[in-house]
Amino acid sequence: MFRRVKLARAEEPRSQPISENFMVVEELPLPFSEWLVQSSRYGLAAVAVFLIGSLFFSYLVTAFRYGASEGFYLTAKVMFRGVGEFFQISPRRIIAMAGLAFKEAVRRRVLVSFAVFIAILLFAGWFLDTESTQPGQLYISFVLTSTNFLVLALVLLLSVFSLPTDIKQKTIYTVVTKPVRAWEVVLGRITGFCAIGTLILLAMGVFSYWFVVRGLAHNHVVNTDDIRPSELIEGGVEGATLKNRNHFHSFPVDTNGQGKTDMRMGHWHEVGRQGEGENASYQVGRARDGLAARIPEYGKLRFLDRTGALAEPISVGYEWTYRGYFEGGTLAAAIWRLEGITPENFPDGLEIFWSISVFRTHKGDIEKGVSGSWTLAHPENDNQSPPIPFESKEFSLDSLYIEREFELATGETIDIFKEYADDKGRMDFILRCDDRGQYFGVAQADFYQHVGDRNFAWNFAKGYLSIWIQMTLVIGMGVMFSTFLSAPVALLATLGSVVMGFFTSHVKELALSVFNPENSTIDGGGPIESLIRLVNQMNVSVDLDLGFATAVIQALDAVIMAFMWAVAVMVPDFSRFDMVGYVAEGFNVPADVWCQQLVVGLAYSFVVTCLGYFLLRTREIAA
Amino acid sequence: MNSFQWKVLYIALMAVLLLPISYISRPSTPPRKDGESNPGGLLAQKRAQYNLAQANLGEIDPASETMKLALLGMRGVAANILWTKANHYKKTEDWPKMMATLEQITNLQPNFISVWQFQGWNVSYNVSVEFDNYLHRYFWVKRGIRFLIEGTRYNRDEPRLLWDVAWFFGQKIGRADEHKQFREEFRKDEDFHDFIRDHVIDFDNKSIGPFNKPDNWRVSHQWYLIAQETVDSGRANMRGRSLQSMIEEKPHERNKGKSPVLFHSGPGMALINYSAALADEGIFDEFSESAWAEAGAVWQSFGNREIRTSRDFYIRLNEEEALEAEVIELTQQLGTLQPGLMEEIKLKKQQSLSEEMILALETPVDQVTEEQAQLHAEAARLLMVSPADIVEQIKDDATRSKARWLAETINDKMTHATFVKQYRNIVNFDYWRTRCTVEQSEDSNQAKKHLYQADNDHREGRLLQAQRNYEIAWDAWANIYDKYPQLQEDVGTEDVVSAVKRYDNLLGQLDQEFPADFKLKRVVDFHERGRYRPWEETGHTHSSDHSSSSSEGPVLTPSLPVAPDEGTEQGKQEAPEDTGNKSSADTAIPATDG
Repeated sequence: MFRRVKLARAEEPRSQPISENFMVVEELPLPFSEWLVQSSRYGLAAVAVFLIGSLFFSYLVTAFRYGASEGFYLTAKVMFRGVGEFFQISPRRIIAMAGLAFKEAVRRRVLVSFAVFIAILLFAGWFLDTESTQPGQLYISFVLTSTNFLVLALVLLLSVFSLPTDIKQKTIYTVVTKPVRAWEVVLGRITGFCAIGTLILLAMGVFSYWFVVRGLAHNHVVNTDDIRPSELIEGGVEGATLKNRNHFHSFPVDTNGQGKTDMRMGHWHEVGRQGEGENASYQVGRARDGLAARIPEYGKLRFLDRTGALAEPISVGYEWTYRGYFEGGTLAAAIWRLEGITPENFPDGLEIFWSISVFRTHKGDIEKGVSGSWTLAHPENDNQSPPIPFESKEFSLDSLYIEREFELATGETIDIFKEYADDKGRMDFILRCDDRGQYFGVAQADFYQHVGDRNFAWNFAKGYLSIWIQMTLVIGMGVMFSTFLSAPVALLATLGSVVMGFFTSHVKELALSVFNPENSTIDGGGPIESLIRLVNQMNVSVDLDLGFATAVIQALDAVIMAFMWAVAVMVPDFSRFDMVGYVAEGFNVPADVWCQQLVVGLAYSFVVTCLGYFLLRTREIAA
Repeated sequence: MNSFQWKVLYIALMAVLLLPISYISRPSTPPRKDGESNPGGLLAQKRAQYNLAQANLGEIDPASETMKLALLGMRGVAANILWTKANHYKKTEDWPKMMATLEQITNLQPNFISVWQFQGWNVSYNVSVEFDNYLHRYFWVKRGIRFLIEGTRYNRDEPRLLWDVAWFFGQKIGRADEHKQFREEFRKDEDFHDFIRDHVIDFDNKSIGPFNKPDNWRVSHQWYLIAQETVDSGRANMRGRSLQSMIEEKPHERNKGKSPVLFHSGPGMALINYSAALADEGIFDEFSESAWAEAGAVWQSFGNREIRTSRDFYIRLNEEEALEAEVIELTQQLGTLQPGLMEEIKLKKQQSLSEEMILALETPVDQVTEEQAQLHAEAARLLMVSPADIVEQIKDDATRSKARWLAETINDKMTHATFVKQYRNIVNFDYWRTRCTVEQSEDSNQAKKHLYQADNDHREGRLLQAQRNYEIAWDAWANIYDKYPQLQEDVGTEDVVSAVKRYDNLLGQLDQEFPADFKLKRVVDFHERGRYRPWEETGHTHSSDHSSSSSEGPVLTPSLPVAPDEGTEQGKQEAPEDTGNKSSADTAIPATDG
């Protein structure tokens, strides 16, 4: 019948950290092709609006200086020449310019940032929670986050000071008097800074990887005096390792002398016996799965209510509505429909993983989890497998291996793919809570079919790729702003854009709340109103009542927020470039996600490069 | 002045300003060989005076110092952001990140006591219950305790934190819904014992409970003692070390924090709870008797401890009886100064009563109307003779001044006695004192042991044996209630009454009559008010209405009355503030024989 593969021993470990190995995915990523089709229309329109707007802005500047017609003529000339020059870009000259930028960066001692990074890694141990239940998660998110901020700060400073200094010191003339086009000046700088940034990022990546791997590597020793006959495996033994790095493992060893420890702090070890009888000793292998890149196949989730009808899940009153709950001991259930469940994909059987939240309305048996069961069901007919019972384990990943063929109580042997999957390879997995009065809570990403694993190093590199994309964007923006602003102002403008980039969704939401106070999702009003509330220590839920002044303040706030909203729409959403969650939680960064990020990054880089070119030209004209 | 001159002037001003700064911030130097020491500048002296130097507060953590410096004064902003993040992680149930954030917060503010208190509580009480598995809950309860203990490393003489550690060890492990499992886990948790061993002196002797393993209540007791020691040694005030050292007796700050009577009741309550827990777990030997004896002794010494009241004088909880005796004696003395005066005043007062009041006084208690009850109370108040009434009526100057002195002394003693009574109520002092005495008696041991065995026998189907054990238990309980009748009024006696119902049920199974001469009739009647009387004279038959008692759920071990302890709302109340406007004339004299 069904075989349950236990990663952990039956007995729960005592007095030590518990694994919490699952990932919260608020929204599953769209497939890349679908995303591209959906975004391209909006994206292209945005690029067009942006370019036209920029041209109009350039025209305004020139018109202000030289009069309307002269300004128009100059702008048109620059635009047409720009397009013309774009096709005459010489890679050789770009490389030469990039070389200059590279040398300049080295002269500016950018490598100091690398030293800072090494110093951070050296002292990281002081600041990281040594008792963490998920040290891998903590280490990975620490290195990725610190690299991210360090590199962004570095390239920000590097990119905004370069051009203004050249212009200020007139060294730019030694370049522009040569047959070098403005495209090449801008692209060369961006390429040069990207090159040095990439090198630094690579070095940081290598050191970070080493830091994470070395930081998590550990071993355990087994005290042979603690070995006793196993209650689970006939003829086997069981025992526990000694404590190391704030945890220990329990393990059973079978008659062949092989075993696996339980899952602790997100990893397990292999255990092997050497020698026989009283001379037997037990060797614990290296930590496994602490650094993983699992590929999950998520299904589509729906809920049934207590009568068995399709329904919305129940809220048990948690503020966080990520998980929906359903009642136990009734017909209520959570059903995931998975696709691609074919014998070709899974010749031996299925390995499913889940994590559930339990909500008890009565104490029940304190020492036991709440009972639940899995049932496989055909999506189109009434075929259902017998329920596979399990006991709930909250905040940890539970798993089940379902063999392809099994015997029913009637003696009949059944192939799960023939019986419960349809022609398209779809299968329903029904989760039920069997204890009356208790509830299970699940979200779509709480259940998945484990399709395979990717190499962790490659996944780690993908984490760095997202930093690289952000770096390119910051360099592009920095160079763009520095073409027409003085260094400190360009610094502020770029910094402002980056900060705004991290909060675009919040700013947009806030703007909508200010525009439409009736349906506001964020209380407290816009910047001026907030300031007044802050000074008067006024609660956000209290109406601002200053008579006519309120209307004026709110109108002004609306104007400010309209501007902020426009900026928020224009700057890239930096929070989207976050792959730390995937890498740290041990899940493969899907190609859909990083391809989307790469496309967005490249599109923005293209736009800011164009903008940089035209602004430089405008400046040239102005000069 | 040109620009250069301005610059010179600025530099000169800076140099001038540096002189006083360097003067007041001179460091202190330790005593030299010749015995001479330098207290340093004003700042160093103030630091020493108020124990503000980081090294005086607790351990210095380089990580914490680095973070504070690296933030360039933006510590407050960073701490705010981290709090928001910690709340977010709690909401999204991301526990590892939440803990990591808490660590960052405490790195930034290691001497901000409320952070340790609040977040320690958060982890032990709020995060732990988010887990379904009791082992996971235990892990998080422990994590909160470890967090608090970590806090005591940075704030070593902070009684508020030390007291909280004790509270968590006791109440969170020993009183949670899962207390049975938690206590068992704690006993086995050698890892945790190793950790505690580093912080508690003589852990292996003083914290050992049954089965020769550490007991959470005993560990709790040890931590209460550590907290008490910091206060007794004068290194800190129970209101909080840092707070008290800085505010120096600001009246409005003085009553912040824990009330002294609650603070000092900790060690005694921990041992009482320990002894009660032993009984719950079926341990009824010399071990449990000696536990109660120890608890009684500690409670007695708590009664002898001087406790500061909210009105700044000190009281001892044990002195109530003595104070009352003194008041009676002094009142007698006052009465003898001018014999017959008291009766005279009383008579006058009686004559001044209205007819309705007199009628209300004369009506038997069970016949008074609501209106009359009010009049009755009013009349009784008017009839009271206060010392001031007597002083007023004495004509002779010499006697009058003596009477005044006596009246003031009586008032003073009565105020003391009132405070003692109120403070006793806060910690339920009398109840626990009686309980400690009762529990040490042979009767109590017999009563509980046999009841426990009877319940076990009943559950396991040894009906006759169960009956025998119940009957031995009833005899012992009857002896206890004879000796300490006040105990039968306590709500905790309900446990005994439910045991009687189980006994009734057992008799039903055995097809026997409920004995008409049952010894605990009075106790059952008191609690059931006639709703349940299995011994009816007509001869009780076991009908279906009694079968309900068998489905009451798990069989409980009755214990002696359980009173609200220091964990309840009532127990947690701050000492009542007296109104402060009582004049000596308002205080009434209790009735005396004289």
